[in-house]
Amino acid sequence: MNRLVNRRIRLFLATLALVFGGLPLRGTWLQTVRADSLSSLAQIQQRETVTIPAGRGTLFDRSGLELALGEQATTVYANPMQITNPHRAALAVERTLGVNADQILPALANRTRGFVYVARQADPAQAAALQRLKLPGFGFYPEERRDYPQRSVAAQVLGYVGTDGNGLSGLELQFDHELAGRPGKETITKDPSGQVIDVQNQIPEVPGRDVYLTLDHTIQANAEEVLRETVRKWAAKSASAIVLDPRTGAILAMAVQPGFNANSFPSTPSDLQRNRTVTDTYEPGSTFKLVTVAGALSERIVSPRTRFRLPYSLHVADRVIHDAEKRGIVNYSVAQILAHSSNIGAITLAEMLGRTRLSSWITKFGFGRTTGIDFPGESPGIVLPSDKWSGSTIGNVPIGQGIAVTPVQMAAAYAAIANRGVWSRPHLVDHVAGGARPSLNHRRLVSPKIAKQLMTMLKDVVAEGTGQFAAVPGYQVAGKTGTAQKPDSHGGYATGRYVASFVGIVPASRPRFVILVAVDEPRGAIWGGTVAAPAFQQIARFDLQYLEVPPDAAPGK
Amino acid sequence: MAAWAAAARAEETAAPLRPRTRPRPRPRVAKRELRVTGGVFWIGIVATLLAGVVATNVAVLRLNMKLDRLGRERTDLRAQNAQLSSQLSSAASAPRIQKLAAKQLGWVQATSDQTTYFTLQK
Repeated sequence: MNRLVNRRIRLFLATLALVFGGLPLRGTWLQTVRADSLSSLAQIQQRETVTIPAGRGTLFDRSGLELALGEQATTVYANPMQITNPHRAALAVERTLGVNADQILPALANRTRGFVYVARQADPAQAAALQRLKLPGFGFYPEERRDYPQRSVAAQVLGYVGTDGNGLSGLELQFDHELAGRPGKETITKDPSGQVIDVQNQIPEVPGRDVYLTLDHTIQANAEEVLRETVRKWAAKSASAIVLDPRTGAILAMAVQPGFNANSFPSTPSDLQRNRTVTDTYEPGSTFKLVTVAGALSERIVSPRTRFRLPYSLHVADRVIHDAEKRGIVNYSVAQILAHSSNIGAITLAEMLGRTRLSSWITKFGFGRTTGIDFPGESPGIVLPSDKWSGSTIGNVPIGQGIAVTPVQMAAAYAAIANRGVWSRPHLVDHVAGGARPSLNHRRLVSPKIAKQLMTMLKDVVAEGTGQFAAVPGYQVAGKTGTAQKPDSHGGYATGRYVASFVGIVPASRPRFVILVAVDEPRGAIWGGTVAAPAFQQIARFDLQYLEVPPDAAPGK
Repeated sequence: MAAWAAAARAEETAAPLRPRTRPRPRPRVAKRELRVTGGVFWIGIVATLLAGVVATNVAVLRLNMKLDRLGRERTDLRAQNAQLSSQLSSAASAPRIQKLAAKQLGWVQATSDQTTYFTLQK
């Protein structure tokens, strides 16, 4: 009996010895051989490197109103492999985030995937409601969502930001580097309940810089409203307008209609998203005669009073060109050629000037190259070099045919005349926070005397010529109408498709605004003086009142 | 030789047996007490230091948790601020106010001939 007990005790002791002898061995194994892998496994479970998003800079208008700003949002993702009940999870997502359960269910139930987005940039309150449910397999991280509080105002100019926070078009793209900032990073250690217990290696985020525009949201919204009404009235395809301060080249409004709500850009056709005033070209028609006349005056070939005997039509190479309205032979001065927008008169001046000099004046006015406006995708326009001109080119370029310009090029050219002959680079950005104002880049096009003569002639266009609908009571207006047939895809001109435009300067005595209005394919009327000039008048009247520009002479005095 | 042995015997019988001299017990007790007191002192010091280390770690932990909570609070406040800015921007939009004024109050934009400007004397 005793022997048996002794044997059992020995066996027990041997087992104990084995167990206690094995423990240090196991400990040594874990502490040495498995140390690295276990340590990294623990780090993965406890440590996490989190990216701290840098707030994107705000776009302000000239009055300090936010046109684009960043809002905090929460992106919700899921790991379907960890979701125990996909149906319950989908219903919870529908209830809290408003995402259709039927749509999200296949993604949540797909156990072959380890990551799916449930909602990008969701409302933080809604995401927090889902987070409170503590569903397994769901994750949340903060993201910034771009918001355009003025909705459709200046939508094409501001552009938009993609879901990853990168500027994709417009000023958002042009100033992406300044607006974006630099995201920060921090490594955190969490306890088993997910509570942060330590923060290491923090790299603070650098917020993006704010950008202050020259645009004025009130002038912009009014211009858009006028264009909307113009498009509706004339059943036009589209319309564009630019309001520019000729003294500095600052653009106060850059409107395109039809527009769109900037907050819903993904669902907007790309055609509507284009800022046509910068990216699209058109044949300017008679508004281009300013360049021909400016060249002729500057080269001292003619004076404003030089008179010409002008027939109704003219043969140029293989083409017959005539004036817009049927008439007999007239005796027009250079001023009257501009006032009545005589094609024959402008071609006569161009023939006196010659193709080389005319071509150099076209280049001098900035056509055929970009203006350098701070907006992406600017078109240089299409200008044929003089050595490639055909015999009939001298018959169409001086009257704004066979040449393509952008509205901003044309507005800048008229602004130069309004600014006593000095051209200023048109610009949309006044300054970037913490940075210097960009240089204005001036250059003289014509002498102050020639600019003054041209202004007098342009005043006549509104006072007694084709632009009488542009007149604003109490103010002197200078400007020029344009009606250009649109080219077709076969190298000719499309029947019944026109661009009606008007470029005006107001007040002509002390210019504050250059306003360009171009209406694409109006119906019922095609003339710039009928379709575009009234829109100019409405925009000018509002802007003069809004910026409290005193009239040239008090009414009745 | 016999004399030596006799002398030794006489000596043995003459002198009574005395206990061997040992180190005094008193100084040994004092030294031990001192050692014990020193040990307790160091234990106290070490315990205090350990308690300090633990307290510091707890404080750091609490601060980190507070930092995290404040960070979240800051993010929330920024989100609210951005939302309010957006609402303010929409509400303060002049065209919107003009539309409301025209619709609800019958506001009409004054024309240039209805506006008078005065030049003030300097």
